[in-house]
Amino acid sequence: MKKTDMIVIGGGVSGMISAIAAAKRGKKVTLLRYGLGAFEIGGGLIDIMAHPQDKKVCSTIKHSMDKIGEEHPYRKLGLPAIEEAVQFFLELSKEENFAYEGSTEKLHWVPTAVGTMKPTGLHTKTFNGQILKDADTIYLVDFKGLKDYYAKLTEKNLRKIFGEDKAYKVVTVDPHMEEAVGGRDIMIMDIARWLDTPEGLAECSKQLKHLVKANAAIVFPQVLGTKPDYTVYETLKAELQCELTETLSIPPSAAGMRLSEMLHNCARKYGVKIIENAKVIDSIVEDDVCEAVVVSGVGKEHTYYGEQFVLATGGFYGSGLDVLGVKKINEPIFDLPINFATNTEKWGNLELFSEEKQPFAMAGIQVDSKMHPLNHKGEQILKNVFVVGRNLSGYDFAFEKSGNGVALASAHQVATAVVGVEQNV
Amino acid sequence: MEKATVIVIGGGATGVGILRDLAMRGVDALLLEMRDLVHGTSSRYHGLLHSGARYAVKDSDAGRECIEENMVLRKIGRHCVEATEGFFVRLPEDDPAYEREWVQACKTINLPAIQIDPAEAWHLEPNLTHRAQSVYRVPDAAIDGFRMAWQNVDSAKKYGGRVKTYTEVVRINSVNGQVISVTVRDFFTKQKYDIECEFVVNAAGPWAGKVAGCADLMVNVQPDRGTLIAFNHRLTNRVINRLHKSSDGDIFVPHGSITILGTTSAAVQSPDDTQPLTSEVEYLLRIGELTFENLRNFRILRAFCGARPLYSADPNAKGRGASRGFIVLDHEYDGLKGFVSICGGKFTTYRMMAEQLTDLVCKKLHNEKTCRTAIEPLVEDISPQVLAKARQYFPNFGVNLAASRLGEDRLKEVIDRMAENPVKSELVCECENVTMAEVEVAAEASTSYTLGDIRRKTRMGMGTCQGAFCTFRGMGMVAQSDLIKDQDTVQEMKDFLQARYKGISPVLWGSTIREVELMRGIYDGVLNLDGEIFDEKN
Repeated sequence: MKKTDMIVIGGGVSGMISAIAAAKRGKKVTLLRYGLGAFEIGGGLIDIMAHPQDKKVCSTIKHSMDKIGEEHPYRKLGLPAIEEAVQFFLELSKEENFAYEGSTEKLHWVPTAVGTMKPTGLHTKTFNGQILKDADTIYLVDFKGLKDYYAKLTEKNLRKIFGEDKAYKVVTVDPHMEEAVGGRDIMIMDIARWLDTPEGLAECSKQLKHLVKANAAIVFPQVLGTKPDYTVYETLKAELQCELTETLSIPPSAAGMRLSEMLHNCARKYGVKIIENAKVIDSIVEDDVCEAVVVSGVGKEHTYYGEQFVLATGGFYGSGLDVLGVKKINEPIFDLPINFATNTEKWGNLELFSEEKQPFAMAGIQVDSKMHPLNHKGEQILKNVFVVGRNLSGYDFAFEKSGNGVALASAHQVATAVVGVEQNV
Repeated sequence: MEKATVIVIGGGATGVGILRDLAMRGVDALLLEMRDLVHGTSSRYHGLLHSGARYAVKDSDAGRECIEENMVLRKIGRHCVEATEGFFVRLPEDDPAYEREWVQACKTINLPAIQIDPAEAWHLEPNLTHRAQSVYRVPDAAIDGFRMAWQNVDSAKKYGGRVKTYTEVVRINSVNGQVISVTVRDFFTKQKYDIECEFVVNAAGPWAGKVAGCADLMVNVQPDRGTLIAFNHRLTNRVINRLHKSSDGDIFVPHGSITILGTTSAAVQSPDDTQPLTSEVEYLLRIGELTFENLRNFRILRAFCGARPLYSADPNAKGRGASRGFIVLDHEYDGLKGFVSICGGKFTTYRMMAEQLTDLVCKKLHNEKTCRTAIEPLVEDISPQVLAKARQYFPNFGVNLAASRLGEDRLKEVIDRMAENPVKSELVCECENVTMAEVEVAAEASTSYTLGDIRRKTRMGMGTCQGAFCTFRGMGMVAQSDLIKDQDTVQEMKDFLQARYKGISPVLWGSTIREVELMRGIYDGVLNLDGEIFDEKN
């Protein structure tokens, strides 16, 4: 029976960060994953906190620790731990030559494909709403035949925010791609891959040079490459002498795939063993210690033994929590107790875009400051299991815009806790 | 001032049926609908074309009307009807005496109910419970209420019938006991204006009492709320009814790739009260799983509610006790000439109701033309040449669906757009196979004001993703083609998603809640449709 130091279940942001942070501190880590997390949805940004309480009032986590509920994962962690995690991530991205920017004390605004602006925490250089405010001319780039991007919609709503005294121009680049994709729709990822190639990038740049004047702001769909580097961004910026920004849109997100690949590269570098297509279906627990988890495989089951276990399986979307009915939730691997984190009998608000956080979104697993799961009396249940990311209780990622921030901070905390445990021994 | 000889109030099945009948008899008619066509009861039911078997025992007249009209609608509206047939299934908990009475009643009204071996029934419908005691085949069918109404309107327009949506009648004006005009209010501009007329037909379904009130008259229509569940699976190929005294949750109707289970019955104050509740869904599931034991394993798409228009001369009759038959009220007897109401009834008999009402109106107008709505098809079959051409541009699996939903003229227009610009064959709605060209054609129609109107015409957003992808695409596409005037596109998207969420909120579990998590992730988390959109301080 071979025991590894740490087994991480789940390959989304929280799983990858816990694995990397622990491996970086010398732990032997195995990561079991089944799926891609929410990388394709989230747009590669780390939202930390924008709406602690009220949809119409923005605030950063630094200025709102007292406004979020006691059950909130950030309250369990405390501000210093959140800031450490942010620092860890910023350094990590720098190491990977794909530096993220941002902090816990200032919101960064990013344009969306609808033409709304969205507040976030940590971001790549390719997302920058500030340039729209500063520029006199805003170009909106469309690509001929591109599905899921409608420059006129973006323009219409950006005008409302940035005013009519700027010039707004939609310009269209022709990627000559109809034949290459064989008659199917041209997707965001097709354009991003086209721009990955030196020929595509040169062609796009050449066409745009005829269409735009220098010193303007250019709004792109999310197509500035699929790789975790700034080649496409820097090249176009230099060639066109303009400021650039990408827009957030519906899945799949090219920027999310960049973040995924960056974390993957990191994990590999620090020796994390990643087992793909590994669906964990059960755990082997003796008293309050988890010995192993069981993975379903083709025709047989595999058992993975470890010292520490990190449950990073996601929430409802990622199947980390199965909802069987109203307020009936099952955590399928450890059968952990579910905390509903609200006093209300309600399960869902009547409005999708509600003034209040959605009760169902607040449901999840309750943890202590080290991310150990707790029972309803607030007692520790499993002393070598940690819970991170979307399956935690007490927050609403969509309302607050805090999803990846909670994932990052809780995951980083686990690595700190695990190393701390050993040092105490 | 605008003018029409006859004004029909209400754009449900009855209203559009009357418009068509009047137009076919050469009467100058204008239909006024306060929202979009079929936004009310005619789209908020299980889509069952009754054989009449359900009413055979209790109300043989209603049963007889159903079987007659069932046969008519199959012919004139064959593109809206899926001839599935139906089973009546008696379970151990159902009274065997009722079965005997029912068999006799079906014979009396000439309704073919053919008994089959329960084992044969399981063979045909593997999900059906093995506890069935006896099973009968009846000529039930599934019918698409949206399409039926649209095709009635298309047919009426050919004969000169006119339609105004989002136009609410607020007053029926008369001089010396004779109707002279109606005052209407535009839903969007809120402006009021008058339309001159000789005759007003009140076909407002559960809103008929309210409309009668516009002429200071009383019509006793009790809105009766029925809640239904749409499953994202075709769990039966046939309509499945419980063979017992008609009750709640005892009908399953398959429609394309989904199945609808209904209904409940409860008197409500207002027909606008259409928010389904978790308790109603749970109640329906408990009854439904007696017929399909594995019911809870199937994903629920959404729940929805409609209001039956139950008419009663006796204000104390309630629910299923009140008649499902219909009545034509000539308000001349109340002292107002030129005003009639049609109340009660059900979707299956809408054409017959329209015929009787139109007969009365025509008599008063001294128009002697006879009704031809039972013999002339709603729409012509689409020519094989056009269908063949459609296959060159459409995703093949979507051709027939799109063809029947569009009709030949619009189909040709959609094909032309795709031929001219291949990008237009992109799918906006992948669940229901709705192309960009089709959304464009729907958006350009004079009756399209909102994304919801486009949805009802095209089915965009009504499939598995419930708008998670096509809300953005639909809005973007409409903006890209310059089809929006002054709408707030962000609000429009929020309204569209809220209309979807309304039916999802009572069923937040299983795969449905996963979809909501995705929907919120995209539209709240990523696109920030709802938050503050630029806060300089932060």
